[in-house]
Amino acid sequence: MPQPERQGPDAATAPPAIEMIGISKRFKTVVANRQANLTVNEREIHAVVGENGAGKSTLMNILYGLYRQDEGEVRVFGQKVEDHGPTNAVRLGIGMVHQHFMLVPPFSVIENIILGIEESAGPFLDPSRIARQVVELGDRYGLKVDLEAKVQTLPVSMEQRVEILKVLVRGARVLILDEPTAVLTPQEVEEFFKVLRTLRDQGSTIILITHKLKEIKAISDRLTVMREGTTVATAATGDVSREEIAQLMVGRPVRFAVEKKDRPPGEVRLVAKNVGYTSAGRRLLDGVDLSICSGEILGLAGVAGNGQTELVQGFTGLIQGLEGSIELDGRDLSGLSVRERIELGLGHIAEDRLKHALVPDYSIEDNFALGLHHRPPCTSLGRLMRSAIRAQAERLIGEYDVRPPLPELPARQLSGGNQQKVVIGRECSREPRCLIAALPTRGVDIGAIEFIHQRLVGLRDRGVAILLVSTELSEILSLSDRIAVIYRGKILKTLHAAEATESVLGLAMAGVA
Amino acid sequence: MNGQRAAGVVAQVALQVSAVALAFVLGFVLVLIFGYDPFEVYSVLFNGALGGLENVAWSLQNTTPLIFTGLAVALAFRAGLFNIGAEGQLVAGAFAAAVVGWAVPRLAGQDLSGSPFWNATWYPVGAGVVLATLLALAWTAVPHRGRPAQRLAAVRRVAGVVAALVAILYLLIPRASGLFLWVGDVAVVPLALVAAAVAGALWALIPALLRSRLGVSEVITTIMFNFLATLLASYLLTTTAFKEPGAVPQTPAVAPRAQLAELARFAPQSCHRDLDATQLNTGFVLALVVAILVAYFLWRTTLGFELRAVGANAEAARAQGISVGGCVVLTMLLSGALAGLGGAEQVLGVHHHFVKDFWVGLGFTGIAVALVGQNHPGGVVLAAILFGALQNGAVEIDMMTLFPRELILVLQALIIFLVASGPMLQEILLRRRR
Ligand SMILES: Nc1ncnc2c1ncn2[C@@H]1O[C@H](COP(=O)(O)OP(=O)(O)OP(=O)(O)O)[C@@H](O)[C@H]1O
Ligand SMILES: [Mg+2]
Repeated sequence: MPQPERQGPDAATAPPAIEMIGISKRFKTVVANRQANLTVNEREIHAVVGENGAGKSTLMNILYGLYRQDEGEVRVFGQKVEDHGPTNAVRLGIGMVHQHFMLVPPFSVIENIILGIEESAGPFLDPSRIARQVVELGDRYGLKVDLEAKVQTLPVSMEQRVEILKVLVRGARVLILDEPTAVLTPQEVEEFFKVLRTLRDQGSTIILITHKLKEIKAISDRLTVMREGTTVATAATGDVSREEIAQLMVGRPVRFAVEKKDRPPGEVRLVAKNVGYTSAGRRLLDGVDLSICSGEILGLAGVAGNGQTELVQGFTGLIQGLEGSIELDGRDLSGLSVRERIELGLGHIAEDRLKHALVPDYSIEDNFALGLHHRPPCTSLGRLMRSAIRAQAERLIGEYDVRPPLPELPARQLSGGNQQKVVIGRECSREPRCLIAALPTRGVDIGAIEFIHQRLVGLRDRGVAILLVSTELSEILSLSDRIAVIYRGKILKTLHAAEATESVLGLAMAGVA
Repeated sequence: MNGQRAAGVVAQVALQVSAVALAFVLGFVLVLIFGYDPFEVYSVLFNGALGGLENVAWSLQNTTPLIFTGLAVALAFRAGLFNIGAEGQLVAGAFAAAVVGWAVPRLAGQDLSGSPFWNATWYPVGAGVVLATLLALAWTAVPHRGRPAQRLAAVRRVAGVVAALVAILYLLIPRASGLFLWVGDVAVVPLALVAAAVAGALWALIPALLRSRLGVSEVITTIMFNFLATLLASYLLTTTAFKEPGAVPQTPAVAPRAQLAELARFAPQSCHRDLDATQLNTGFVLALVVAILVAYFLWRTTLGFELRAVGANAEAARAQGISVGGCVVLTMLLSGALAGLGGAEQVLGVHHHFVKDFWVGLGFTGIAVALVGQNHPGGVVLAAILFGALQNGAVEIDMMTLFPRELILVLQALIIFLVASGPMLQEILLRRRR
C-alpha cells in the first residue's frame, strides 16, 4: 500500500485525512451502521457523538480495519483503502485507543507498549530505548505511569494512559480515541486536551468519541452526530449549541441537571472504621472512616488511583482481610464472602464492567440474573428457572431501555453504554440496602446519564444508602448529599454538599486540605 | 430469536462438517501421493466403519469410552480447565469397577477368611482403618471458632462418617453374608459404577485442590497423575492380590452379574449373528444418557451456570459472589467421575477384566473428541462416533488392504488439525463469499 506523501499544509488542494462514504455494517440481526458518511480534515480534532449503540465504535473499528464494512468506501488521505486490517492501519498512520482496553494483563506497562511496536526496530527491540521514549512522551504530555507495574494491578485510569501512550509511541498521524476521557478526572482531561491540541498543532488529525458535551465544545473543531447507525449532521463546533447537539443525538430535548429534593438522612447503614490496606508494601488505604446513612448519597471524590478501587473492593469483599472494620446495618462484614454480602443487600456497580460486572459471553438475561442467580426466582431446587430469568430480563430490558432488546444476545455484542445499563438495571432492581456505585455513568450517553442519575436519586429517596465513586466532579456535586475526598488512601475531608464547590474539591483532591 | 440460535447451531455444525470433509479430501490426495488407490482405501474405510450392522456395532463399541472421556474433557473446558488427566481417571475408575465387580459378588454369601482382602494380613489393616476413623470422629467433636474453621469441621465430620461407614462395612462383610446376597446380585452393577465414578473423581481431587488452593496448573498435575495411575495399575497387575493366575496381566474376571448386558440381548433374533461378535453393551446407552445429563447440568442447573461463568470470566464470576475455587474443585471431580465411568464401561462391558494397557489413547483421544465436538455434549457424542468409526475402519484397512494403518492416524490428525483451525477455515470461507 503506497503512502501518499504529505508536503506542507496546503489545505485547499489536500484531500481530507479520512473519508468514509456510504458505510453500512450488519451484525446478524443488528444493523450497526447504515449509509454513514464521515469526512475528517487534516489537522483537526473531530468529535463523533451519538447515543449508546448509535454505531460510533463500529464505524471507528471499520476505519481501523478491525471490521470490514458490508458496503461503502474508506479513503485515507485520498487513497482508497483495500483489504484493510489493523497492521495496515498502523502503516497508514492510523492509531486507535479502544473503548474497552486491549492490554495483556499479566504483562508490565512497558511490555504492553512494546507489544504494539512490530517493525520499527527489526527483530531486536531495545526496551531501554523505548522506555526512554515513553518516559519522554509521558513527561511531555503529562501521562505518567509506572513502567514496571503489571497492567493487571493498575486501575482503569492508568490502563487508559497506557493505551494512549501505546498509540503515541507508534507515531500515528490519525488518532482514533474511543471515549478516552471517560475515566479521567477534570484536571486530567484538561491536561489531556493540552496534549491533543499540541498534537493537532504538530500536524496530527484526531477523531474523538465522547459523550460529554462540555468536552466537545472545549476541544473539537468540527463534529459529526450519529443516530441509529447513520450520520445525521456534521457541523463546525462553534456553530451549534450544547442543547442543539443533545437534541440531534437523542431526538428530544435533554435536561442536564438532576432534580433532587432535600431529604433528611435516615439511620446509619454502612460504616467503615479505621480501614487500612497494604499491598506489595504500598499503603493503599490508611485509616479510612466513612459512614453512609439510609437515604443519603455520599460522593467519594478523588483523582483516580488514590485508593478508591481498593476501598470499593474491600466493601464488596473482593479484597479480604482489611484492617479496621466495615459494618452493614450493624453487622460486621469481615470474613463474609462476596455472596454473603450481596445477600445482605450490598449492591455493586463495578468500575470496570467487562472485568467485574458482566460475563461478556453470557446473554443479557443471564447477566441480569448473575449474582442472585442461585436464589428464587432464578433458581428452584438447584435448577435454573429459565422462564423466570427470561421474564425478569424482559422487564428490565424495557425498564432500562437496553438496545437491542434481545434477551439472548451475548452482552459482548452490546455497545458500551448498553452494557452499563444492564449492570445498572441489575443492581438497582434488587433494591439493595446499600449500593456501591463506582463510575456508574462511565461511557454512557447524555440521555442515559440523565436516566441513571434519576435512578440513583430514586433509590436514595426510597432509603438506599449510596456510595458514589466518581472522578467526575460535576457528577459528584450534582448527586451527593455529602462529599468525602480521598487522597493517597486517606479521607482528607468530608463536607456537606452545600459547602462544596469545584474549587474546594479540586484543591482537596490535589492533597491540599 | 430461537430461530436465530438454531441458525447459529447449524452454522457451527456446518463448519465442523466442512472441516471433516476437507480433511477427507486432503486424505484422498495423501493416499494418492503414497501410491495407493484412494477409491479402494476409502471404500474399505467406509465399509469397515459403517458397512453393515456388525461394523456399526464395532464402531459404536469403540465410540463408547470416547464419549465418556470426551465429556470429561469438555466439562472441564467449560469451566476453563484443561483436564489432560482423563486417562488416569479412567484407569482409576476401571480398576475400582473391576475390584467391585469381582470381589463383591464373591463376598456375598461366602466365607472370606481365605481371600486376599480378608486374610490374616489384611484384616488387621482394616481394623486399623476403623480405629483411625473413630479417632477422626472424636477429633471433629473438638469445638472450633470462626467461619473457615466451621466449614473445615463440617468437611471433617462428613469425611469421618463416610470413613466409618466404609470401615464398618469392611468389618461386617465376611460375617453377614446373607445380608449381602442382594448386593452381590442386583446392586452390583450400580455399585461398581458408583465406585468407578468415585475413584475417577478422587483421582482428580489432588490436582483440583492444588489448582484451586495454590494455583498449580492442572495441565501438569493431571499429566503426572496419568503416569501415576497407569504405572500403579501396571504394578498392581504384577501382585498376587490383584493379578489373575495365568499369562495375561489382568485382574480376575468380574462376575457375570456384574457385567453390562450386551445390546444383542435386546435386539431381534435376526440381528444376533451380527451383534454377537461385538461387545457393544448397555454402556453405550449409559453414555448417551450421561451426555444428556451433562447438557442438562451445564445449561439448566445453577451449578452449571456458575461453572460456565467461571470458565467465561472468572474475575466477574468472583465479583458476583461465585466461589471460583469451589467451582474448580467441583468441575474436576465431575470430570474425573465421567472418565471413571468410561473405565467402568470398558471393564464391565467389554473386557470383563481389568487388562493391562486397555486404556492406551482413550484419554488423549477424548481431548480430540472434546475439541472436535466444540465442548458441547451433543458434539462430543457425534465426534466420538466419528473417531470410533475411523478406528474401526482403520482395522478393516489393515486387514483388507496393503495400505499402512498409520496413515489412518494421519487422517485423524488432519481432522483434528482442521477442526482446531475452525476460525481460520471460517475466515477463508467468508473471504470466498465476498
Ligand atoms: N460484534 C458485534 N456483534 C453484534 N452486534 C454488535 C457487535 N458490535 C456492536 N454491535 C451492535 O451494533 C450497534 C452499534 O454498536 P456500537 O458499539 O458501534 O455503538 P456505540 O455508538 O459505540 O455505542 P456506545 O456509546 O454505547 O459505545 C449496537 O446495537 C450493538 O449492539
Ligand atoms: Mg462505543
